[in-house]
Amino acid sequence: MFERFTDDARGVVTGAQDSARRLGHGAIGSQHLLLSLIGGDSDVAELLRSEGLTPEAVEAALVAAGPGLFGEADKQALATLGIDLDVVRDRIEAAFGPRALDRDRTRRRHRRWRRHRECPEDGEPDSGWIRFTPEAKKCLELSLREALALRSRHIGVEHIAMALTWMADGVTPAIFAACGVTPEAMRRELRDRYRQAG
Amino acid sequence: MLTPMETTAELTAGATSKDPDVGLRAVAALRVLTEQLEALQVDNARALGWSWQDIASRLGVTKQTVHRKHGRRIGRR
Repeated sequence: MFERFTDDARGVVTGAQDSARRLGHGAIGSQHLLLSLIGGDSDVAELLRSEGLTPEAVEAALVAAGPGLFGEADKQALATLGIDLDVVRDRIEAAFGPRALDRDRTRRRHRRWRRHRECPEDGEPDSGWIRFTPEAKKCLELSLREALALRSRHIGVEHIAMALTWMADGVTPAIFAACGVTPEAMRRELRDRYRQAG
Repeated sequence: MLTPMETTAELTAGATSKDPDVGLRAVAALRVLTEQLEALQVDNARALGWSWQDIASRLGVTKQTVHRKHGRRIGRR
């Protein structure tokens, strides 16, 4: 699927990986795609920034929404069982150190995936390739769908942006809300703008 | 003997929410929580010199199971 991505769109994906690593997150989520996208110099990035999705605001909302492994909805679902994830996290971090609970430890799967993708092996466990969350993969699939819907032969940054507005799980919807952005309105605006251009 | 999955199912049987959206999400989150805790505890036990056999018996699984699941991540110590 990546062969259909424009250079800018590929840049968003690579940037998302850098963002996830910089923030110490164990996987690339749609929120990292969003953060990477708005940090770029594309027209789409400019539009999103003008709507309130500035890198500062998004990163603040991203950090406030908590690490990628457990989203706000997960936290609330656990609370219905009487499990307070914040208390669990505090106790585990007290015993095992910062981010002990949220660092992704399921390395076996990503090694297999990495071999499958024929990415270069690297010795440093924390500096290498990190995996996409299922919702980030979903987001990339949706960007293909958006491109097809607009009859575009390529998947561009605008299609990733439209895909992000469909996210129902994970941290991204919370980031939109925190920045005062309505995903549906954003999607309409993007579609109107890029329908002819694409 | 309870496998981790059965234990999880047992816990969720007491869930207050009958909304599948919340209930299923809770199950999935519990599973992630369990996996993370297991990895942390196994790493720690290995660092303290515990044998795979001792770790396996506490987890209620076979030595092969625990080694297959965690051996590659931890490596030989």
